[in-house]
Amino acid sequence: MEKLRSIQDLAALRERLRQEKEKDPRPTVRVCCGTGCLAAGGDEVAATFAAENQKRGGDLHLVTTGCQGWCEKGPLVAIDPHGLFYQRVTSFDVPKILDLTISRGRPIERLLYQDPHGEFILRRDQVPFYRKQMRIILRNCGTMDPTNIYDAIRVGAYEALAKVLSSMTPDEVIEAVKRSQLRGRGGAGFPTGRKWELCRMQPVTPKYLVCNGDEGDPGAFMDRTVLEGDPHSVIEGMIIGAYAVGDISEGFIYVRAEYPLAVQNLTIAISQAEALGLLGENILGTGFNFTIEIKRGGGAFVCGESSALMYSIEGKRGMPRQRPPRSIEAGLWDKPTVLNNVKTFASVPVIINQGADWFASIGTERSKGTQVFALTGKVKNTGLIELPMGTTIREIVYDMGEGILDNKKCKAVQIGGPSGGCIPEHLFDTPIDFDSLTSAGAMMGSGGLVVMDESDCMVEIARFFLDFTQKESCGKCPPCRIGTYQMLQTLERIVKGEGRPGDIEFLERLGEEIKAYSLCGLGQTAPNPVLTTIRYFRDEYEAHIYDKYCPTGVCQALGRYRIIAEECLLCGLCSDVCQARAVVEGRDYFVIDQETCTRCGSCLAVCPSGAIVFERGEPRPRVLPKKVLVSEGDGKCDVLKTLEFFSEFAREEMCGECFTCMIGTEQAVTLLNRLTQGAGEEGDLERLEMIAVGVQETARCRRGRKAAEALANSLLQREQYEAHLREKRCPAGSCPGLLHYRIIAERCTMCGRCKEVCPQEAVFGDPYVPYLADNKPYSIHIGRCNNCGACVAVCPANAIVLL
Amino acid sequence: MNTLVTLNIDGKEVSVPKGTTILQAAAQVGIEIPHLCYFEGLKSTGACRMCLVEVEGAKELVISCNMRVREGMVVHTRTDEVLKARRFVLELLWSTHPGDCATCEKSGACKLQEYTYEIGIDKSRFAPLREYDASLVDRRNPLIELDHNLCILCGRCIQICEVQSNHVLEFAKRGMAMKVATAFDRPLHEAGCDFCGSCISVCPVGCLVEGRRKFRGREWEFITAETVCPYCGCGCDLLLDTIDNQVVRARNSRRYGYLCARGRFGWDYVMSPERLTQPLIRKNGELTECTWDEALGYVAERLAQIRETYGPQALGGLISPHYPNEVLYLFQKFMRAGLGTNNVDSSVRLHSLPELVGIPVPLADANGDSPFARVREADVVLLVGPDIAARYPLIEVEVKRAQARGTRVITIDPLNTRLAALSQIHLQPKAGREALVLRGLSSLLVKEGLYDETFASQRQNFEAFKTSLDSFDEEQTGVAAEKALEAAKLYGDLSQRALIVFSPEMLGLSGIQEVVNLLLLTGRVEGGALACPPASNSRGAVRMGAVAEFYPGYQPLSNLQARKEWEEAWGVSLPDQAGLSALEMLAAAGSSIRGMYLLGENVARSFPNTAEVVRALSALDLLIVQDLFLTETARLADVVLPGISFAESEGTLTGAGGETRRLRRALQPLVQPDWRTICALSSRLGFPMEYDSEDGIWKEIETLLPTSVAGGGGSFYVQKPAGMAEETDETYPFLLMVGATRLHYGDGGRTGHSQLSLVEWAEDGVRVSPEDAAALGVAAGSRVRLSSRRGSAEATVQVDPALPQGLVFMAAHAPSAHILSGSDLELTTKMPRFSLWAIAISA
Repeated sequence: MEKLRSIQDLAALRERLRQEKEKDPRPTVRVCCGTGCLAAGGDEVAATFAAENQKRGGDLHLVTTGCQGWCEKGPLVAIDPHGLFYQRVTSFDVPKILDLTISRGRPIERLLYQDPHGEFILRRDQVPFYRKQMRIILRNCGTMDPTNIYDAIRVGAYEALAKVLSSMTPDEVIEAVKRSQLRGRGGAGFPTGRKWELCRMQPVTPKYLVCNGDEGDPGAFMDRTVLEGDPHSVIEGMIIGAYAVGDISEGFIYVRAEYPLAVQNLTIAISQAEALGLLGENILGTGFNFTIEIKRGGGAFVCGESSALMYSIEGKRGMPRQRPPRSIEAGLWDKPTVLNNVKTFASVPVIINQGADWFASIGTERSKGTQVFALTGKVKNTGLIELPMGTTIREIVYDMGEGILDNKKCKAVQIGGPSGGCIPEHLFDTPIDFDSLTSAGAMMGSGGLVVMDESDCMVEIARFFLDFTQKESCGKCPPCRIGTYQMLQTLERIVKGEGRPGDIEFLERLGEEIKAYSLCGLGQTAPNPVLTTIRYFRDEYEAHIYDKYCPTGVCQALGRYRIIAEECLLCGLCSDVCQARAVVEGRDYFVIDQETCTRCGSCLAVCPSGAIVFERGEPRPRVLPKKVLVSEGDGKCDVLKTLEFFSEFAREEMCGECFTCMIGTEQAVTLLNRLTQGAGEEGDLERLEMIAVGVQETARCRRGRKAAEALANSLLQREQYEAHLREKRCPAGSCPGLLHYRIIAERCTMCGRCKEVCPQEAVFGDPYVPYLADNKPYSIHIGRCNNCGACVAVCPANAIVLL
Repeated sequence: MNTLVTLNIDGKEVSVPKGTTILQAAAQVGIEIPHLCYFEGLKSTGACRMCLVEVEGAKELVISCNMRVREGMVVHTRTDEVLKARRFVLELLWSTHPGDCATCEKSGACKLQEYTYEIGIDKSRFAPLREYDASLVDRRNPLIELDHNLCILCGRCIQICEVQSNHVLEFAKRGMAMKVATAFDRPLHEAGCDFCGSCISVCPVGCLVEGRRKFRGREWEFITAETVCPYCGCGCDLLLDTIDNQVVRARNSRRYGYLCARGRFGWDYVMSPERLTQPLIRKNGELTECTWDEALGYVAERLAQIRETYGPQALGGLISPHYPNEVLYLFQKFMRAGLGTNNVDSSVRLHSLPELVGIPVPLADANGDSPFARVREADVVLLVGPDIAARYPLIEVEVKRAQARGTRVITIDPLNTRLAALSQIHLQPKAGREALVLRGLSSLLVKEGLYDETFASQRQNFEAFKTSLDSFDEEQTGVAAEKALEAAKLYGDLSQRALIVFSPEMLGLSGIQEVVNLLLLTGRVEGGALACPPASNSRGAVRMGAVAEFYPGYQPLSNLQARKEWEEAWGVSLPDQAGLSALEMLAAAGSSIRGMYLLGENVARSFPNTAEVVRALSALDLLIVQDLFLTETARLADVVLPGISFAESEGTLTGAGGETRRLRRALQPLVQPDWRTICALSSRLGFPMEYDSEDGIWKEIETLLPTSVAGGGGSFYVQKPAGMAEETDETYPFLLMVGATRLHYGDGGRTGHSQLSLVEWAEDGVRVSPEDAAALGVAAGSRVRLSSRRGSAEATVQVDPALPQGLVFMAAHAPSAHILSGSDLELTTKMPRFSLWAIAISA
């Protein structure tokens, strides 16, 4: 590779490349080798093309490109000059493509996109997914080979750089960027030109330039795509930025190490640019020096925050710092630093080439240009799209995304990643720009756009995003570290069906406080998903909390799997597939033990007869019986007797003068009380023993010592206490607070299954005799029942309840 | 730059210099803005969100520890909005702070507790997130206890660890799992912790506390004594907190003060059960307890006997330079006036000698601050001497502080130490050749014209010195000329304030002379150098005349006028024979010296050539040892008298800059104070010395001590500098360095009885460079035999990458260290000629 010595050299090279291309008569095949298509087998397709091409004497110009955007349909293949656009190509299709399309110019219908009306669409720009797009940042992604700088130069890379170096002063560059009204694509939307200007005015030297490619949002891959598919546009933008700001000779690109292809393509691009003299010492013979170093991040979300990112580059722990000073005053190594997002830098060359006014003509009043979104979720077309600012969400979801999968109803979109917010369907006509999104409670963020349909539970979505931000909190300031954790705990309770009245208000208030008092942007935006879902989907929260009901059925703790005996074929597949061994097999039935069931849904999936149903958690039946059906065992248990004794003692006899007797008695009453209520805790028996021994030893008078002795004696009935504590069961059936299974007579169909499964033989009642009019319902002996729940699982009529 | 900015804080007008933060400005008018992560002197991180205040015109609350004041700013520190924010943060913190204030050591001094009470939070809105988990208490080292349950993650410990220690603490993990940890969560003592305990001093809650402090008393019950650290000559302020005549903890009096491990944890030897409480007399070859009366009577009788038989010149005395001025003064007075001999000396001779040879030493500045603070103010610091930071840990901290404000550091150190790595320029000479490097720097300065021509040319011997300079000798010094030139250019920039910091005991006479040459050359005589005194009262020992050649006040024995004055003052006639120095006395033991009185000197452990020392002591007719413990020397004694420690002493010390420091009694003396013992002895020998207290002695010293200081040094030293290393040869190819470790001091006589020995105690370790270890075929843990021209000892190998090839290191407190070293005398200073000795290592 020969070094370019001047700006004219570059122009001459470009001209030569263009002419070579024009003279090349061979058809061009562009195989997408972006990460999405690679995963779908794009590299295999490319390799087969290459092999076949060689076999056929190389009559084909094969280009492996970066991401072409429509990841849903990958691997993608574009063929010129036919202008055909094939999707979901496999390596088996390759010979056919060569035979039919390349040689004879015939399109293969199977590989073409078929629109909803059944029409085959030949060209890419006619496909609805692409039709409305305006590709500025992604201008070269998917059309060129990112590992070949000549390919990039041919399509116009470094043209803007040449223009800047040959005919513009740094101030003119800044003026142009300012006039274009480009705002940073990283999320906050700070005007780029202004940032450069402020940094240029700093007296301290040297200065640094940093490109933020630490794209940490789950589901977002815009930066990755640009870095993989068109690294030169970023490099060019950075060189222009360094030139404009001045006193910068070193730049850094911070990329996640999880983006191996991006790192690889960037490395290749930088070394090629250096070899050509476009980067490094004396760029294009103009005397301007600038080098770029790649810094690989370790995958901490917070390192996308600018100050944390700079610490990470310095080799320190990535933690944000308090501002002021701002990065432009004291950033990397305390020197003035300009930090911009990948997409911001990639936009710069276009502004220079096409003119600031052209750029400013795109978009809305205060947001100019285009934004790239990673469209994912429950939408038919997923992939990467670039649109002018001001496009509505509806257009994205219904025109490019072509609506919701399985034609379900759309519910909301989450914009801006885990720090963004959910925008409900009724606000889909909101134009996407920085300010409207913020006022809707979301934010532009880096451009993740997740579509949710009616089957998505918004509480669970909020919990999911918060779980992410909470785990990724750097931990520096308490509002973010502890506050988000508090929120998460509350949300986890809610989705588990343990929500309490007041939780929503608590979340709202806590969220606002976290936003107000957190140190960095991560904490200040972390509550957004929760706050927006509460704002727009408050009814779902209320259903979870008050009705213990998940309207979408997503929150599995709020529902249960049940086998409908009548439908069951007794095939046993459910039992085989159950990892938790929750399917209990009886003589002629299967039941699911609700305690063991993890609600994984495997049984439902394998059941051939549809006998297994998932019952959404309707408000749990807490039906009160008319009367207690069985009350055998009239004697009181020892725990209850002792409790009554001590309550009496405390009320009547205790003088309260010596501490040990007084507090010991109170403690004993409390502990015994909670045992009889079924709320005993581990260690309670030991505590009681301690009291018994301690009071006997230290009480002042005989009465206190006697009482303690009585407690000690009672504690000898250890099994009784153990049953109360561990099994929440009163063997004598006397403790009213402990739960028992009871059969509700009105519901009982007298099928007798409960009696059959009961391991304790606690179910009483005669078998059902159809011709007898006065069949008695079944009943449960409280004294024998050990609350195993087998009867509940088998009862087809929901007649057995815990009371 | 001293523009004042006026602002209004809670209705109070305050004018502060530009660049002050709101928090600092508020403190000036007595408003304390609550803060948990900010600590005066450390960088503000803005992590705790407690110091939020309202600034009129600002969109949101601002962090006052970080926000600089602006003219006309109006600040409110206690509005509802502010209190709401603080309450929120505190409530969050309490939901993760499952501490029990009833048993927390910090209760009453805890900032979290204080602010919570102040704001009045009775109940947190938030569910407690954690239960107290006993497994989260890190007690893996005995000195510093880290209870993660109580940690609020303010990050102060991490910041101060970076500034004052080895930066072993950092945050680990993210989110709620975040915690303060060392790399890979190793225990502190394995992670390279210096145990300076700075982290303890900044922790706002009870997370970091001294391990030995638990349940020994509440903070408000402490009785505090302001005294001075008893170890090296850095002379750090030390506060001893005591309860019931027991020391509970030590700390530095200043908010941003520093104590090294010795100062912070090395005090509990004073309460060791092994302390001597009764005098011992050798009866039938066994040391047996006796009464003071019996012991003093016996000592007086034997001393008189020897004086009678052999004359007073047969008696000699050594006193440790750790004693306060009063004891030093009394001791030499007792020896000179009471016994009539000038044979009085101190181990200060072995370590520190600038004053002994009339070389100027730094003086305290006008307001009596220790010269160590000058490091902070210098633009260029030149550190000379091997591992100076291990000997004087304060130096490293001061250097780091200086570096933070842009000071550049040149280190001349044969070792690859931490401080050398931090330096801008590290000149790594061959061991013992530091003086040569300094001379080389002089020659470069002259060659490059980087010196003060007018000043230097007026000093004596300048021309001779100039002509004696050769070009920089790469071969001899082992330092690349290019690097030396870089250093010379930095040091020779006369517009900069430069300071040379050196450890005299490792440089020897010629090293110190070369330092003087550099000072004269650059005209930096005033405050241009700092000789680190190795003992807490090194300078006092010389100044009080506890050395052979001086009367108190640096007056040479040869000065007849001085002698006359002292004779008048003390009312006796003083001997005219010159006194013997420490090593000379030992050499003459058994021949011309028949009886010795050793005060706090464990010569059998800490003097070079142990075998020879033991032989000398055994040859004496009478050996009296006065010390805290039954040391190796005391075991050889005829009479052992118990003494008291620094914590029980009242008195004064002479600091590194000649300033007078107060030693204050923190504990009731266990036995009678040393000065009373000397007085009692003196009276029994017919020279009554009557004082009512230490103050009385100090008054006498103040009245009698001439004001003159050790002066001189206006002349260049021309003679080629000598190396400090003994010749190596094929038989003895390695050089042995005996020195301090960061945790222990000197012969370990005191630190060895403290909790520090639980963390590190190099009984017989020898550190070897990795290259040498490989060449010798030994690994860490191997036993090797070390032999020198004087003796041999076994040792366990430790591999230390900081050492250069050919140099091995033994801690001074290892019993075998001085078996190998030698006691050849340097003739001018009468200190050992070498500081590095040739040895052989066999596997």
